[in-house]
Amino acid sequence: MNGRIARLAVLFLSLSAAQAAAASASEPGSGGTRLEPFLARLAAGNEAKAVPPAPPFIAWDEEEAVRLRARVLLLREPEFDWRELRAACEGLSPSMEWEGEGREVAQAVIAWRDLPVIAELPGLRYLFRPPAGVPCAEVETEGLAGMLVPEFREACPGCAGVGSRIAILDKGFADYERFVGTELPEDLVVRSFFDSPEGNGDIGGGGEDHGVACAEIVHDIAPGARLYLVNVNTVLDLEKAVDWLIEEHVSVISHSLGWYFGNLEGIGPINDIADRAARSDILWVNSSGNEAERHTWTRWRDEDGDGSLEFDAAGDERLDFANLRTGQDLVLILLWDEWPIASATDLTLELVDEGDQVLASSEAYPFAYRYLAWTSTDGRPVAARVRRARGNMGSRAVHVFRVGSGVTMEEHARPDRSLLVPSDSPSVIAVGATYWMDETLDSYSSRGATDGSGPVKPELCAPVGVSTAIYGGGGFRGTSAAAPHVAGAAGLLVSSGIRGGFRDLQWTREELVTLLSKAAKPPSQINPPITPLAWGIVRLPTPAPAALRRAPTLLGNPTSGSVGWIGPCRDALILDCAGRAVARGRDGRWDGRDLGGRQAAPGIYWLSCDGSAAARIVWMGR
Amino acid sequence: MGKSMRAGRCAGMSRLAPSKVFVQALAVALLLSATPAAASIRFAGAPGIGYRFPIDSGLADLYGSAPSLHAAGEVLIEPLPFSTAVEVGYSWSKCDHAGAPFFVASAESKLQLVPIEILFRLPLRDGPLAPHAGVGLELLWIKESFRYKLLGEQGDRDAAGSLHPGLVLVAGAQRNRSPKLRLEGYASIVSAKKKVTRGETYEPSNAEKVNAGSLGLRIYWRLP
Repeated sequence: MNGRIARLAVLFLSLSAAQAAAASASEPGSGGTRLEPFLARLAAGNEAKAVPPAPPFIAWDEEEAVRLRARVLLLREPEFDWRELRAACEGLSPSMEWEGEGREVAQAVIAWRDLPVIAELPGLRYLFRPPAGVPCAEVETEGLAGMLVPEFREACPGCAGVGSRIAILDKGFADYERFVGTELPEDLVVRSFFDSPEGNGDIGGGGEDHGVACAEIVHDIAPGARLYLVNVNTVLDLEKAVDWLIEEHVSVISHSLGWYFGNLEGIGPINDIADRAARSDILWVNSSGNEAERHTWTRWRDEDGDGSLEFDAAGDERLDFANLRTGQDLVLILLWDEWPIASATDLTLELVDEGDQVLASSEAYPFAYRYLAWTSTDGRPVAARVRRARGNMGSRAVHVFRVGSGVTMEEHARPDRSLLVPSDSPSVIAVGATYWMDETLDSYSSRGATDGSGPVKPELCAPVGVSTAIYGGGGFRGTSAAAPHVAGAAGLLVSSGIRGGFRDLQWTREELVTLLSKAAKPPSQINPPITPLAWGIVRLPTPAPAALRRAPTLLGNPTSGSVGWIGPCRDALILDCAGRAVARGRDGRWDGRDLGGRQAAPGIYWLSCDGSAAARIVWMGR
Repeated sequence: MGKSMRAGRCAGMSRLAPSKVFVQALAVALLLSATPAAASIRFAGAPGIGYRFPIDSGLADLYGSAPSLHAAGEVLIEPLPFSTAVEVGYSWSKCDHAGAPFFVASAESKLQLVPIEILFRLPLRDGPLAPHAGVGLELLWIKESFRYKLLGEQGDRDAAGSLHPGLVLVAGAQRNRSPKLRLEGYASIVSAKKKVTRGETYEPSNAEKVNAGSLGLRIYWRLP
């Protein structure tokens, strides 16, 4: 009690000091170290007229910016409580909109001019724009097969996901209503935490439909599962959403977002959230990320002692970007291993030209996180380098990501340890991307350590290049498409427990892990090999292991009449594009009739002997 | 807003916890036994054995019928035409063919039932073999646990027990000469919601109703 009074007194006495200090804090470089430099410049009016667009991994609300306000996260000192801090903040900034608080951070919309005053408040450690999750999607092609879904359903009647609750925790579900009752189940639970820790946000996520495609895949695999469509934008949104999902007793969370916010070895605020879900018996399935070709890392090394990181044993201190175009953005993120707060070390990410002239530098954060965004004005080659500003780096791991679609880290790319947060967490099932037809690893698919210094990840690979209604015939690629396949498989398994008299037993998280890991096609049977890969390519358990995984060969170009084939089987299943068995072919022939004896509708079908490999049929009808 | 809040409160008030009903019934019985007009109050105890048959066909398929143990404490107050008894039973049955998917090598479930009853028995006729009928309230404690082999790994799951209120009807006859025996048939009607067990701490219901009642036969040896 005395401690609380003392803290209140400190707060009260400090308000005037905070007001006085505000003017100096608002000036960039004048000691406003508790305010993100970008926000300090906004407060000083330096960027008020033309705010540069925020990178996708930072939450930035344009509508608030028009009103000269910003959504920020407030990081507190551990000994202060949010009630006191909120009252103090409201005293300093009456127009502030407090959106909610979590364990470590609170979120509020604050007028730019009030930010320096609030930043000086005792008890607040740092104010910054919220990190945001980035969809791991690359939309390209289509296809779904290979998980042995039809065989599993046939062998396990009633195991269609009924009784399981699967949350698709994504950025946005724009236009989802259009698919309810067809591509999505009628019985949906929808809640938005997007910029709304209270859970009253915009389910559309500002026009993002990525979540709909993920939900479609889950529904295709586990049509009986109850789906929770939940979207988030910031770290605090995520924390609140997961708290709610724990209360709702969901069995599986499918999260096809990656965050650049943690040490990439399972430590950081996002990982804490995933760990909490796992402790609540939730299976968290996460896309591993699409960063394999736009990431590099090394352990800290500075043999020549000049303060610059050497990226290889030869002493190369430059990450060269030789293929820039005029007007092209170069966005880099630097992460190193000192989380949650980087109190002992400080690094700077610099961009230099060919003459080592510094073109741009990252700004300081209290986290082991820096970013740099720069636009090439002349297309000339540039290079990035990492400089030690403070502290002993020892042999800490240092990672650099290049952000953007279609870009690479050029010759410096290192796919190992390129997992995004939270797929790096031992509590999370990381899922990599294999093309559904030949089960080869997509080159962009992020993966874990290969030197045995960490857990082998991803745990599973799953099909990508699959079709969804929202992405149309173009298909859905990226590890974003892979994760919901595993989540759907887990949903089917949840519904396959033991049925008792008064209780139906559902598998626990650990049992689901056992089932998924043992049913997977093991790495030893995958050719070409995928490394690192812990469990294998996702499969559902089947009564007897299918011996042959060879696709049948169609005879001629059978688009109408009937379809003939040769191959590993004489009897085969005809699957629709979602992998559902719609017809059966016998003696090497399908007459175009579905399981009910009716004429099959024109469309794309797959002829499958064992569910893992299939021949594509373009069926025009009889 | 106000309307829905009122409706919620009324609904809450009209719902009586089964344990509350049971305690109230017990209190009425004790009050009756404490009536000053009681010319004589006699207490009796009775251990018993029995056999119960589930009413629900699903339960019957899984567990079938099972023996049961019983213990009764009875109060007889002379002016009152009925006796009041508090009875506890225990029944235990196993099933080695619980509904399990193909990848579960063996699945065994165990059902334990503990009916706690407060019964009012009315003798229909005096004599050396006196028939009686009775009615009572039942609180049925149910615990169902599982043992299974999942992909070669042994698993055990002990779901938390739960209490369910119900009604019990009895009819039988009592031998009033030594050895004093009572034979009666009973029907208990108890409804329970089927639940889903993932861990040991929570069990979201899937709202499927199960008739947890049973028909049974039991015999007591009435101790003086």
